[in-house]
Amino acid sequence: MIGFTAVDDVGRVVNPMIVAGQVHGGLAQGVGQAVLEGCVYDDDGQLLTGSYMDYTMPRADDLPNFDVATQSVMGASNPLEVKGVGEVGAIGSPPAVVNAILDALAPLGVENISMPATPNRVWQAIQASSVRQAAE
Amino acid sequence: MYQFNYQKAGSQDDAVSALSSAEDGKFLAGGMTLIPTLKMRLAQPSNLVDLSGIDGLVGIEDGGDSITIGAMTRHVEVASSDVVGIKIPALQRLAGNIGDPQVRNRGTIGGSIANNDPAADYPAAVLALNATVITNKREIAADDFFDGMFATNLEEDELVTAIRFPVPEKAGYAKFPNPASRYALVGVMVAQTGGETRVSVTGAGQDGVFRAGEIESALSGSWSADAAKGVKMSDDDLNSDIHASAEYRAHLISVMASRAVDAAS
Ligand SMILES: Cc1cc2nc3c(=O)[nH]c(=O)nc-3n(C[C@H](O)[C@H](O)[C@H](O)COP(=O)(O)OP(=O)(O)OC[C@H]3O[C@@H](n4cnc5c(N)ncnc54)[C@H](O)[C@@H]3O)c2cc1C
Repeated sequence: MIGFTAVDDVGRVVNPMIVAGQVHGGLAQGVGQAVLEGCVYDDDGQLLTGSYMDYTMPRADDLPNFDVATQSVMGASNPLEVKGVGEVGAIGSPPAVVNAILDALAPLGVENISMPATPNRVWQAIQASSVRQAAE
Repeated sequence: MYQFNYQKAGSQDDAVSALSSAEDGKFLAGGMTLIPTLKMRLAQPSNLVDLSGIDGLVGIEDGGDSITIGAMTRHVEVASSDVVGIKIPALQRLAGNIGDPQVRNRGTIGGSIANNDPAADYPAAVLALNATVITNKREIAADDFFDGMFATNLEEDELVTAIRFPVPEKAGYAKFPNPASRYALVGVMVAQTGGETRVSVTGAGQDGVFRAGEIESALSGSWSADAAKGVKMSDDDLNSDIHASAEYRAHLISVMASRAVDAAS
């Protein structure tokens, strides 16, 4: 991942630093959901991702620098004209990341991949791709 | 954690006799593997014999055509050693990519190879560089040291004191880290020492670290990234887990081998 741009409408920005921080955190969660995080259970119901040795939390070195901005329309339902910023980063980021992966895989005819799109899953999708099989 | 007795050994003999007289004792090095195992109650040793007070187990010695690293030498010391950087840069880089800074500040080379985690990095270096494991009793050749997942040919009360690495003509290491733990999902070291080509694979084998004879032959014929990448590894006897299937690991072995050749110096 080389870059990430997010623009959100949060209503009136009261504290820009906190807004940017919230968006950063949300983006990290969204990227985590898209490519890293997943709970896995075995057939007996035993959790296999029971610690951070197996459950991949997004960390700083998994992420690019974020480019964040707001494009605000004042909120009409409250006197502060705010809308809220708590989870906005996490909403658009998973589909953005997955669409970027599918865009990269489009020449191979891959149209769908489930989250988290781990290296193993991306490789499997490439192996199973119709274009690749036709070429072999 | 269950209760245990803690003993801090003052010498090698002290450590060995403390372990021999304990009901079920364990040496304690950096504790990066042992302590979590105790915390999760996966082991219940009667005694922990701390090695950190013993003189002479820490340090990196330049022996000209070899480097000898004391068992209690921390990963960070290998990663920041000029001698290692000049003589075996691949080993320096390998140490610098183990886990995270906290782990590198505590974990030791002796603990790593005695533990023989099937995804640990150092076992790959010991095997590919044809190192010699030195213990309080004897010297053990790399090919005779590792004995399957989490197992070695060390005796119960045998203490690793140092590891001696011959200086190779060239060597390279490439690892595809497990995204969560940063251990090797697949790690490959390639090395040429005294005209001999050795290739070791960690992270992938059901029996832990192993030598990849197919890639050794390919690289003996032509030392090139393409030659390594051209080898199609079988997925028999490879690990399959939540992070990677055996097929994917087989694929990664050739790719990591080719990157290791590219990185070799
Ligand atoms: C979060 C995390 C990430 C990690 N990532 C990596 C990684 O990417 N790559 C990697 O290779 N490793 C990794 N490790 C392992 C770590 O690097 C240590 O090498 C490893 O835990 C063992 O070394 P230690 O000194 O901590 O040994 P300890 O935990 O103290 O001991 C381990 C075992 O070895 C025995 N032992 C220790 N020293 C000796 C000796 N001198 N002689 C005989 N027996 C001995 C002990 O009795 C014990 O059974 C990771 C660990 C953690 C916690």
